[in-house]
Amino acid sequence: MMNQAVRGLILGTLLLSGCAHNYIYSGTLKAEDSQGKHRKFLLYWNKTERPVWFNTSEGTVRVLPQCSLNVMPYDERPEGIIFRARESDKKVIDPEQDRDVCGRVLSGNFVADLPADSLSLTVLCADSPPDDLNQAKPYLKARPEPYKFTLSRREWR
Amino acid sequence: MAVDSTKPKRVLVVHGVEIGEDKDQNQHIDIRELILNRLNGAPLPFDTEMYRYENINDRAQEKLRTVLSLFARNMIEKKAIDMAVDIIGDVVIALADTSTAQIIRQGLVDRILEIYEEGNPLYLVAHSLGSVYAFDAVNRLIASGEHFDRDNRKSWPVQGLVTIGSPLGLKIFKRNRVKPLGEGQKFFRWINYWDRTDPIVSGSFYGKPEVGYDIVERFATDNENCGWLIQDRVVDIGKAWLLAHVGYWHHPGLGDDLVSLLG
Repeated sequence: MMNQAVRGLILGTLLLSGCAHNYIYSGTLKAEDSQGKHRKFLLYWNKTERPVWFNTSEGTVRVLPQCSLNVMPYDERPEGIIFRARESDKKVIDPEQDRDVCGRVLSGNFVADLPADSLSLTVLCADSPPDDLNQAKPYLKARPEPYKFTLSRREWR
Repeated sequence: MAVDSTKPKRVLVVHGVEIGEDKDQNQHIDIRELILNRLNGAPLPFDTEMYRYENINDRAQEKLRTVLSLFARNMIEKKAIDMAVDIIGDVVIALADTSTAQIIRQGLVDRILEIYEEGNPLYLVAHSLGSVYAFDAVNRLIASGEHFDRDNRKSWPVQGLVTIGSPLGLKIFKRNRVKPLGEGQKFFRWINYWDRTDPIVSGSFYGKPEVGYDIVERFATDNENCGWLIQDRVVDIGKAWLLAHVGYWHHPGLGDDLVSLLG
């Protein structure tokens, strides 16, 4: 009886995982980085839709700069989708306000509900490595106006 | 003794509950490939290695396995008993904090200090039950008072902790606070990745998605002297239940963040 239950559970999981649709949402943008160089930036997150089981979504929207290793993670939090300051981020726009917030996705509060066509976000910090254990890694230049990414969705796997 | 910033970064991978022996634990290869894929040719000298403790666990479970195998009527039942003892035994050893758990933890601390003496900046990536040992090892090193001068990162034997599919948020593991680093300006990073359907993270046998955001962020104290920067990060592995639990090793988001952390 127990064996049958375990077998059924494993089989069910395999089947449900097999029926899942995995989507990646991504967009690119050409803009200046924090060192004043024109770069391409890639934004992405992924989402899984399942016919029976629960849908799931990445909890982070990531922005990757071309020619830099510094990923900007915008994490879904109770207060919205926030780029939370790390030890190497220095706030340069409104430095006295919300010091732990380096940016925000303006197009929604939940990654699962973000629109599939375009997304706006702000960048309020600049890279500032605390010491020589980390190298300087520029990312999107901080500015008061938001950046807008045009998005596309494709299935992967 | 200090970390040399010109030396290649080292990633020490700590496995979780696994079947098999030490030689079967090679998740450091997955992490290496993940980082290389995400680097896409960008220069970042690094290396990965494993901290293995499966044989230590197996030796501790040998008597129990021998006794239980007397009840097996055939090879299949014997194999099932072996597997059950292997998996459940690993968890019990950690939960009960037996002498075996202490040997595993001390072995990890010793390996961390060996790498520290070699001068390589070290990052820990720990999966599942391995995250409990990694968490304890870092906190023990901080508590020793010999390392982790907060404002001098070169005195830190570990530069960052990454946990994936960790059960540390479950009450049965009785961990809820980090050891503060003391006064200073710098922060020790701990990033905890979890999939909402991972039953080892949520404790839900059926993989009912865990809601909310905080798993280990509540381990930080409000005190300014805490010195830990802890971030929980939800990932979508694209698989459900136990398949999610074993799928972190290939997740692109984890790879991108590791590259960012090491770089």
